[in-house]
Amino acid sequence: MNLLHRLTKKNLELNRKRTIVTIIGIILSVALITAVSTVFMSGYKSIVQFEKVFYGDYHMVFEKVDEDNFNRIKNNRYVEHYFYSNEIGYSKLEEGKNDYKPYLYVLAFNKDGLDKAGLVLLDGRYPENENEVVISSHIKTDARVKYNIGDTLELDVGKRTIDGVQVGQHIMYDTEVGEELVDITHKTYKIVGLIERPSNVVEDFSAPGYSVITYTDHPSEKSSIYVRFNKDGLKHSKKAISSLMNIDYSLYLKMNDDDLTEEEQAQMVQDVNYDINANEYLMTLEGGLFDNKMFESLGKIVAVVIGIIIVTSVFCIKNSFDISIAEKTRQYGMLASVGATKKQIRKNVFYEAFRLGLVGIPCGILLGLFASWILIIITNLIFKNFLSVYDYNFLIFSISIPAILVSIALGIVTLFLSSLRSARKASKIAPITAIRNSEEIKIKANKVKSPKIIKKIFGVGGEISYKNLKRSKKKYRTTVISIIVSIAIFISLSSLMTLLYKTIKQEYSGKDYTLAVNYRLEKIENEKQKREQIINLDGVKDYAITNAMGGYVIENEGVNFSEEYTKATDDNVNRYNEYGGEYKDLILARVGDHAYKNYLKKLGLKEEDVKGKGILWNYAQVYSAKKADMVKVECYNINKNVKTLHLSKLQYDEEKHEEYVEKFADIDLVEVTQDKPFGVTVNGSATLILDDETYNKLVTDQVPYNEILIDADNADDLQDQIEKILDGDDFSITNILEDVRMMRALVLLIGIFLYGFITVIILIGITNIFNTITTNMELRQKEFAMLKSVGMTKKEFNRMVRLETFFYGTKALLIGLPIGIALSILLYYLLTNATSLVNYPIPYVPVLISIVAVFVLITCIMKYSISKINKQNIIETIRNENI
Amino acid sequence: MEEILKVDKLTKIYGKDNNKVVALDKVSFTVNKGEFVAIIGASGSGKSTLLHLIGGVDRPTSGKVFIEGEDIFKLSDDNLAIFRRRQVGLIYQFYNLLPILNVEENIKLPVELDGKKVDEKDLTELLKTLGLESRRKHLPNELSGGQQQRTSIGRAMINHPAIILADEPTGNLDSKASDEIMELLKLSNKKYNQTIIMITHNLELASQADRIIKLEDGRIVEGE
Ligand SMILES: Nc1ncnc2c1ncn2[C@@H]1O[C@H](COP(=O)(O)OP(=O)(O)O)[C@@H](O)[C@H]1O
Ligand SMILES: [Mg+2]
Repeated sequence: MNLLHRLTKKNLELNRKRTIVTIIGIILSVALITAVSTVFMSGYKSIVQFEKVFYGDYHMVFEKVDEDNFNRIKNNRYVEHYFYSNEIGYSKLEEGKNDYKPYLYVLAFNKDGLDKAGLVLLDGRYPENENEVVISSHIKTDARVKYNIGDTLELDVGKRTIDGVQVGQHIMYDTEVGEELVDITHKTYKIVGLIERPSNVVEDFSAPGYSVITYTDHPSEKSSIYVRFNKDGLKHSKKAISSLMNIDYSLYLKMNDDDLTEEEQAQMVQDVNYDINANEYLMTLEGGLFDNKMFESLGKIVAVVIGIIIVTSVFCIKNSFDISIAEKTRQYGMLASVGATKKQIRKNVFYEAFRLGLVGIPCGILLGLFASWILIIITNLIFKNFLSVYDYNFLIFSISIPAILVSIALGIVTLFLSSLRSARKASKIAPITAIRNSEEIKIKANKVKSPKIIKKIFGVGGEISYKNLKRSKKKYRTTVISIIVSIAIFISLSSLMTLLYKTIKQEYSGKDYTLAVNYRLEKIENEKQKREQIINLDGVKDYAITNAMGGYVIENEGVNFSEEYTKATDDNVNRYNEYGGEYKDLILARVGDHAYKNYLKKLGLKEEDVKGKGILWNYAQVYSAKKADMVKVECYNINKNVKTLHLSKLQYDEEKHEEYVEKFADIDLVEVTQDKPFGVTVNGSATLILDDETYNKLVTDQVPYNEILIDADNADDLQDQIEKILDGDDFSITNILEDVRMMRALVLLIGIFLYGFITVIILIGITNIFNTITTNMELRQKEFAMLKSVGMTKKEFNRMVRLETFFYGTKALLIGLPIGIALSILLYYLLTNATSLVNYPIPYVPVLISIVAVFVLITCIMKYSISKINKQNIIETIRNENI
Repeated sequence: MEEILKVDKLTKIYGKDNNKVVALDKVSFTVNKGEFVAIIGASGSGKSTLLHLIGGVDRPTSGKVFIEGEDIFKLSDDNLAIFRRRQVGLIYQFYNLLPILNVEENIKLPVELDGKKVDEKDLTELLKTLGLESRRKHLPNELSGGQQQRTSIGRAMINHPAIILADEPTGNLDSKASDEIMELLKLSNKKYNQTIIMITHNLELASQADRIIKLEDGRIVEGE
């Protein structure tokens, strides 16, 4: 090892404390980068896996193709893998409770198909011969027909035809259109398993038949063939599709643009005489990481986050280098005086960085991988808790070599940037500085005057520390700037996280119930008693007995669409309702005594004050063309002096085919709020919540109807019990437990990620501040010793240091807080297009935390440094400087 | 006689306007190879400034310094650094050793900076001459002042430079140690025909030199 390198090594060993702190800084930042990129890549792989498991491992399906096409497609050069299904036919499901799904639909998959069509086995096993079937679970939950594993199905299976034309699952069942089953044959199947409802490629959302799936080992003369593209096919998906359709590439492009001539169109219909469906999401996902919209935007966020990490870390690590250079001024000066060139000195600093990186980067990578592994395990545990049905790990931990390489590269870049300035500075140290005994910082003797007030308030110690601050600005600058940066980043990030979290929570917390039971009152025998029975079942956490009616219009002058609403719907016609007028729509709703009382409690209202009056839930969900998505907004701007809502009702004149408004009622307004009662979901306009009595009195033109909404964790169990209670009655029940669980898990998870991220950023900040302050104190040992040697007592000394703490803590806060708040406002406006309901959240809590943390932290670190200094002998310290 | 050093109208001014200090005022003289020159003068008379300029660790306000005919201030910073480690050996009152390197490493520093290997035999001989053979692995703070100063002389001599410049090398030492240092310098002057310029307050030590230059307020008043 060359001598300069050995010098560096020794320096690092001697300054063990700072070396360790610096390495911790590097480890944290590299770990953070690694964790972010690993989680990102794992997320990507997991979603691909999720898609394959739940929606099928294929990219396209060509439905009911003839043998020639079948063979042509399976041998196509873009196809990596294929499987197929044969339609067996439809059979009437006589006892089914869903009028729009009157059939069982029997189809057969080959062995591969059962594995790869996205079927999710809930219980039992897959069929192994043509006499066994698995049935989908919504036959029980939706049609409410109970079949059990082991049961035998006796089915009369035939072709579904409308006017003699055979149709399949894509055509909805319409009670008005006559359709019949023909070519009926009798089949006997044994049920061997239960599956989740198949994806909508296999069973359309509005398909008329419940899937019953059996096994086959040979294609029929009209099989559907599912293909998975190979790499080439994914890369050139358009070419692959046109080749699979057996049409010209240019023709395909034309078709995509809707540019075909009539002849071409006719030709196309003749040539391509089968339906084509795509598992598009999987196709874009696998087509290329950043071809996928979601991952593209996620990628951008990840890039910004990594950028923030790098900037923060560069700042932190740079500090360590700066300090170490300041400490070694004499050493570098001496090296220069015996003839070390600038380049040699620069290289020496980089070598120091290299040595630190040699330890820090690998440790950081390992820590990052470990952290993401833990994170993924926790995630899976959370999801398992929420999604108890599947034995499925949502996230797969995937060590991605490119992600690691990128992390290493970014770690090196971080280190390089951190040491760059120090290296330059070190190489500029004149040899003369080493020879002279004067210290490195030049103090301007003149011009430092401390305001009289300082002396008055803080005494002589205060004056000295004030002058200290002013004179050795540079010394303090590092400390003050590190605190400023830490504060600014903490405030802006934590308010960003709060914002994201709130938005996500709002986005996903639309439904607070897991079970919905609907019925007409007259269709239930002993309705009241049965209802009581249901809401008193074990496991009912909360419930509402709701009804709602739309078509009301607010006529008040003082009520207008809110700015948010207008902005969100600016360029779509929805706002002018289907009748052409700009009606201020309103929905009336009741939620039942129980939920209503809870609602009043939440709003702090008294029952007697609201009786017969309305509470406006001023919140709506509208379509925003700009975002191409539904957005939730505040609905109306209501003038303060509007105390009563004048309502009309929209009516339709059947004869004139015209609609008109009719005076309806005046309802007093008690409160306008964005809080909702349990059970009400967001509508296209604001909702007026009424007590049951008032609602029933006002809304008379409605069939008496109840929707019981229940929040329960054991929704499946509860559903069984409710079905037993209502046995023989006409009702429908919807179970959205899985959806709700999924969303709650998601919200929880995002919380963990966001706050975990903030924690690490704070750690980096603390490391940084610790580093600067302790070193600063050490550098000033001589000065302290001198002060003591001229008779400053310990008490005075401590007082002086405390005042310094106060001075620059305050200074850092005065600069850091406004910058942090400004940044958070900036981020807020960058991330929301102001259509969001979440207002700019003034970050009180982070500001408070910053203030307390800064002083506590600085005081602790100072105490630590002082205790070390106080142990030292004055003369030793002074002499030590003159080695 | 071969002229090894030529100082030509060297001027160094510190500060500006009111704070202006003329540390050196058009100083000129020459030194021949193998000469042992002592520089004396009151504190603040510009001795150290002169030495630093000759050693190329500082740059003058005006004037030139030639070492072996080379105009050293015409060199770039880097070339000056390289020139310094090969042709100049500096010795300071406060030794200026790197505290974390041992005796041997401190001495080897200028050679290693050149990327060269030190000949072990030469090094051992030098250490013997310096009387530091048994101390070669010791760190500076484990040594007496005299030993530290001998280490820095060793560092100055290792590259057989054109000139050794010593700024009050004995200023911090007792008389016994001072004598040892003086003997060492005289030895290298005789044995290797080493050119030496030494600043000292000690007239007795100065009198052992071949020539004495006396500075007063930045000017040579004697021994030009
Ligand atoms: N860096 C500097 N800035 C300002 N003045 C200086 C500096 N270095 C030396 N001087 C001044 O130059 C003069 C000569 O100093 P120096 O060469 O150190 O004297 P000597 O070594 O003879 O005691 C003194 O008046 C000193 O105050
Ligand atoms: Mg001097």
